[in-house]
Amino acid sequence: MKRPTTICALTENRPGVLARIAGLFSRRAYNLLSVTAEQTATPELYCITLVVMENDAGVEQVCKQLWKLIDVEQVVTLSPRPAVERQLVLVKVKAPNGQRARVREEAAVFHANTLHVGAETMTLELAGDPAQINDFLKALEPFGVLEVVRSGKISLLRSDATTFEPRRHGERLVKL
Amino acid sequence: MTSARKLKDAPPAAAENNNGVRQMLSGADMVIRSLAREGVDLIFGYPGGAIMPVYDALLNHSITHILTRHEQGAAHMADGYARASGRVGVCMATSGPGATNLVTGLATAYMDSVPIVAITGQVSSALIGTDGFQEADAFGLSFPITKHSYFVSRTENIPAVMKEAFYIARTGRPGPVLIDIPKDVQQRTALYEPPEAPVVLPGHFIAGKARDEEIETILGEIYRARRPLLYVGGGAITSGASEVLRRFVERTKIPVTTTLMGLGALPRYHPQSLGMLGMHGAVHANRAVTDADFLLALGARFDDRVTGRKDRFARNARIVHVDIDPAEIGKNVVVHVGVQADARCVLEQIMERLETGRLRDYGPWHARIEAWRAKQPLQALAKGVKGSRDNISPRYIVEEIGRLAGEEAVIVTDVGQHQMWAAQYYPVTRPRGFLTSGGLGTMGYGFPAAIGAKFACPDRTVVLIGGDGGFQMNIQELTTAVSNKIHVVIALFDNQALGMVRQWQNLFHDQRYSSVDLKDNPDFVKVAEAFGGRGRDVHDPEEVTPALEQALAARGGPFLLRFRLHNDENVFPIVPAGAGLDEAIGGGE
Ligand SMILES: Cc1cc2nc3c(=O)[nH]c(=O)nc-3n(C[C@H](O)[C@H](O)[C@H](O)COP(=O)(O)OP(=O)(O)OC[C@H]3O[C@@H](n4cnc5c(N)ncnc54)[C@H](O)[C@@H]3O)c2cc1C
Ligand SMILES: Cc1ncc(C[n+]2csc(CCOP(=O)(O)OP(=O)(O)O)c2C)c(N)n1
Repeated sequence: MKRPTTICALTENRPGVLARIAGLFSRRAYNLLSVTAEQTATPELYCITLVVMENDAGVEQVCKQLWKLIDVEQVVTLSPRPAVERQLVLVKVKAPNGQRARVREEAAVFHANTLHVGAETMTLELAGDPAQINDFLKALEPFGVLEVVRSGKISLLRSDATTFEPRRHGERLVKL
Repeated sequence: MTSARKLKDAPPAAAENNNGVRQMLSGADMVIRSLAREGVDLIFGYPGGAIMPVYDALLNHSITHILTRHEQGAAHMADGYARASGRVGVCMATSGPGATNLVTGLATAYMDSVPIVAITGQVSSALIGTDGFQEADAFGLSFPITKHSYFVSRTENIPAVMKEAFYIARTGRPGPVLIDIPKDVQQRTALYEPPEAPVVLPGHFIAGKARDEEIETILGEIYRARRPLLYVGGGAITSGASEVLRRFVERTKIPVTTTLMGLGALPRYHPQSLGMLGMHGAVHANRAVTDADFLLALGARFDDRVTGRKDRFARNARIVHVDIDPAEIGKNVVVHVGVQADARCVLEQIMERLETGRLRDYGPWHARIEAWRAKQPLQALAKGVKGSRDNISPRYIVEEIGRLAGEEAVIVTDVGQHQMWAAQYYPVTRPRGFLTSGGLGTMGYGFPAAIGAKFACPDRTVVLIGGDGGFQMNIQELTTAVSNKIHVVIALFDNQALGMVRQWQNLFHDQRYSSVDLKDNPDFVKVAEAFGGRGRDVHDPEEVTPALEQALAARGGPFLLRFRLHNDENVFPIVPAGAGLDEAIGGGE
């Protein structure tokens, strides 16, 4: 059964890494829901978080193909394990004078931040897991949502263990 | 060519005398110096504006450059060189059209896991991204068709990049690597530091031996099997497993079928060899796959031309898959045991522990296979059937080449019907003795690859088995062969048709022939002669032997034999697309 799965790839910060990964997904027709790429604490390493919609065999193939890329150091599948997950949303809602207070109240319920207040609109920010964000957007709908941007999801293991293992090499990484 | 030969006599440049010493060098010199450090003495290429500094630097070094007549020819020659020798082939081209002309050659090498390093010039850094003259994103173009690629932005990085590129190309599952270098990076000078440190690629694991428990598991499967079968692919050849494979097979008496890419891993007429499986495989080999209760796949990737309908493939067997690339394990077919390891290592480990006393009796299994073999058509068709005037039997020609060319010969094919006849009938005896474009099926591959193979193995006979269609795709390389006195026997199977496509139209499109007629072929013998080579027209079956003898004995340049075939000849057996391996047509039963 296909379901969303979060995969984290630790990659070298070399030209073309992201393009190679994107190319892999289109070439092999894997279903990609979201991508986020950012530097890690080690500047020459990037963490690329991918959410894919695949069955177990598909997820295994994605991981192996990612790992095959020379610039990819480690590949970790998070989804079956408990993980903290965050996504950022920015949303612009209609907030004319009479409505502003009620928008503020709704934002407070979700602990969203107000980033900008204009004459007719308010722009809010919320970081949360994807379900929370969906609830938030639903709650705002009655006011009139003008624009929404969401970032890709980022994620870490919900435990004392680190997601990636300390830098290493020469080890068999994909377990069969 | 003359210039290439002259280079050999040039005095070694100063840079070479103090190899290893830190000094200022241009990027172009670093490229050449790095090639020399990798042991490269021959490269194939074609110059142009953006790669001129490297061509200039070549003049100071003893590396031989073979000027091809098309960059695609250069890529395929590097490929043929690599497949025949097991070393990394090198090709070079300029930016833009030079780089795009390499694409087909790189994709061909990638699909068949062939180690190549391709060097392309790029427009100067300042022009990149401006749609400059002859700018094409060679780096970006390379992503889906190379194992890895580099864009070199700093001169001082060249030595390390080159070292890494060769390492990546030849280790693990081999493959092509592209290095794109802007012209100004080639021109600039920098401190040259010989890269002495070993290549470190974190996260890059190259499998060798299997774990002991994995070997025990495989042995357990072997001991349990009553109808075992080895399915051997190109990985066995890459890993140099032939010798231990032969010992293993002779000790266990387990029958072996190989893929197109695995031909030569075990000699064709070894008693345990069933020949090729798959779409055009032998009936008894495909039957054995279907009936086996245990299949050991060694360095093979379950290609759809091999499996046919996947749910019918080896449906009675437990499958163990040994592959150096974990991504191949479970990719196409669900296997019971996957082992990420080198094929030769695994066979050696098995041989260390194998207790022959625990093997079952394979007598009934052998008898069953022999019964299929006795009924199968491959030999029956070939035996004594020579054909008639302008309708020479292609099978007969292949068998005659096999008889006359000798065990040491390298056979190279192009793509099409002739390729399959060669695969079915040629008595390949050794690894790297049969070179063909399997994964991409690139028409035009054969002739330049044969030239590359001859450069790699000047003392071996090299025979191209080609079609009239594909030969015309890189016919310009006749010049390269002539000017370098490359003796390749070109056995042209001229059926005046795009035979393989015509066959499909014949069998699966109600004989509606669409754009497959090549009646307007040129006079290939005259063409060969115009290029400075030799040739002979062969109309009659009786002429096949003397013509081959003449061509094989000739020296000093290409010799083309134009064999006249009828366009109605089809390749059998054939498993129609989407059918199971046991549903071949033309199986003679
Ligand atoms: C017209 C046409 C018809 C064809 N018909 C057939 C046919 O009937 N039958 C057929 O077999 N093919 C046929 N082919 C070829 C087919 O398309 C594939 O190219 C071929 O089957 C693949 O061979 P392979 O599985 O040996 O893999 P290769 O492409 O040779 O791949 C090698 C495998 O070995 C692994 N490997 C590499 N090095 C090692 C190592 N050191 N240790 C362990 N593993 C390693 C690699 O990871 C890979 O999985 C045809 C092609 C054409 C063009
Ligand atoms: C570059 C390329 N274009 C098209 C094809 C499709 N194709 C496969 S076999 C074939 C016919 C080959 O004809 P020929 O070279 O005469 O060989 P024959 O099959 O007649 O032996 C074609 C067109 C291909 N494999 N490669």
